[in-house]
Amino acid sequence: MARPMPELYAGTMHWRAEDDDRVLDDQALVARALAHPARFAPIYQRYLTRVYAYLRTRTRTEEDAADITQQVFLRALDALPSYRGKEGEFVAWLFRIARNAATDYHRRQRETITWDLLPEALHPAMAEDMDAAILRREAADRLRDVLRTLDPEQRELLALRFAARLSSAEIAALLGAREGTIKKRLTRLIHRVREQYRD
Amino acid sequence: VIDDDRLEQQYAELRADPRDQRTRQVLDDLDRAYAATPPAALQDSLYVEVQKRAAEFERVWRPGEQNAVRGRAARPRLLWHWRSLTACVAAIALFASLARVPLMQHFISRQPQATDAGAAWPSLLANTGSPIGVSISLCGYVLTIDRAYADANDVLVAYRVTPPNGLGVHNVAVDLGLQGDRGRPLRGISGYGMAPNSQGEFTMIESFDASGVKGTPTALGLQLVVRSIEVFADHNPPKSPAPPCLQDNSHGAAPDQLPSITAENAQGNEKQMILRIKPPKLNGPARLGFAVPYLPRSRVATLHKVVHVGSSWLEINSVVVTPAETRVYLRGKVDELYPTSFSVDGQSYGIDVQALADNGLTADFYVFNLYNMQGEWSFSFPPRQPGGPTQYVRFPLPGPAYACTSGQREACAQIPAVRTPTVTGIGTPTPVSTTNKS
Repeated sequence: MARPMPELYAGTMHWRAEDDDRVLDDQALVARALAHPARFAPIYQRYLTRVYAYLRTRTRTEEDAADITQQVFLRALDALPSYRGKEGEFVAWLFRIARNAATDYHRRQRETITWDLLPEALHPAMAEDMDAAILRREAADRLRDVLRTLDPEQRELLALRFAARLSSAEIAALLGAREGTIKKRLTRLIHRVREQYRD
Repeated sequence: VIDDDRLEQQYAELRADPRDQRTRQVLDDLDRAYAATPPAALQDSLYVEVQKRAAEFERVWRPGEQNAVRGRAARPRLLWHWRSLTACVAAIALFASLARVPLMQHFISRQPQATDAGAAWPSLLANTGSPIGVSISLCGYVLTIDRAYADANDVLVAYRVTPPNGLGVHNVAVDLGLQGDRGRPLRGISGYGMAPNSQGEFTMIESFDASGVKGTPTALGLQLVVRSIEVFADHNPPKSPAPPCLQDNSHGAAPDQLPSITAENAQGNEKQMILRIKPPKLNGPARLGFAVPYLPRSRVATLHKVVHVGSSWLEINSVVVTPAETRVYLRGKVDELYPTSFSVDGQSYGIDVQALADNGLTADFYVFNLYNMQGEWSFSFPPRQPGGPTQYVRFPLPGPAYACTSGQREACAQIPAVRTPTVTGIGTPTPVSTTNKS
């Protein structure tokens, strides 16, 4: 007897309610991907935006950021059998690969990327009214000016916190520092940005 | 719209005083400023690559073969370039509204890096490769091997997939392997995908490792083993008619008697489906037999030169140059950030040592397209501490460079001019032998 078409598709959907990878923690996802590399997809789906946003701060163009993002995840897939992290350490491991890829990129580029390209920097949304757009643009310019005064290490810290959305503990694991130290540095940095921003 | 709760939670640790609105404003602006959205095509491209690697992994990761696979951990690969996918999707969307235009291919071009091994393959296949012209049809999709080429590094196979009419196909990925004499598998190395031509055909070049070919046969007898074809296509199951094969499968035919087709939704987007088309299980994977002339010549420098830098060490085992690609064989244990590069003919190339950093002591090879380089090679190893000496390993490759892009088949048939190479650099030189096989 013929089955109705929707059932055929529903039975083979990647996302199924009883098999939702989105509720699993990183360790579980890594274990699955190790057993079946095709199950790596939930890992990159979870971290794609954060890795891309971080690499966008380290590259000249969106295209370069996308290229390197792809490289990062493929490197991670290749290196997954060597991953020995404990719970909560996967994200630091992944961003270590991302930082290395960014370093390779800079080496290949043979030039220093200025921080002028700071993000999509507060690009006004299409629906915004003109006044709001102007205000936002001014804010972006001010912020860019402030960030120019920071040294690369400080800018990297901000990129890891705000683009990669890593917690202080995760940044500490990534950089091999103490969590308290990272928290202090970030707090001071925000304070400094705030003071300069106001001026 | 900024999600206030998310901001509160995300940056709570950075606000000593929750009532401090100025800090809150700074955090808000930084959060906005650093936000970025990856292009949609990036996820598609990643999906294809991951699936291809997964298929390769499943194929070769068997007991007794693990060392061979480990060695390839992070070797640079030619990818289904996400740019080509973006261009492909954008162009298809554009031309879907303007009717089909024969010049579509001019808007869709893959831009490989100049040093990608694959950058030379189209002209190499066109000028030096052999026409094959064998086809197989799977569920309306026709796979045709157009040309093939074989040298001491690689077997290159150029094939194309022609979808049946009436399907909005954005991309295809073929899970295949290559077998040599007695069914011995040749390891897959890279896939090089081209955007569809004006007929909607997808052309691809796959490379396979030929370094294990014994002796100097005049030709290689090969079998392309096609396990499945994955198709990225527009389908909206509830509204659009399904292709005939899906209907066949839905009628409950025995799985061993009909092509097995599954559909997956990769991104939760119901409009784009990925169809996996497999040959009937009863018959096993589809096989296409063909033969290709084998060109055994290569330019080889065997070095086994070990360089120590701090706690890291790296051994340059050998460099093997053929028209298909240049391989640098390395092993060692390095820091993850250790920058390694080499130069030849005034051009510098970075070497990705990530695999060595991740896996510890691991043999690996790195693939470039440097067949036409003639000058001295120089590997450089910068110091770990400022002010330290940079170490170099310099050596020539025997024989003149290949020149296979002139359109002449005989242009690749260079006459070797054997020279005695030397290795120079800091440290004690180790014995070096170079050969020019022909």
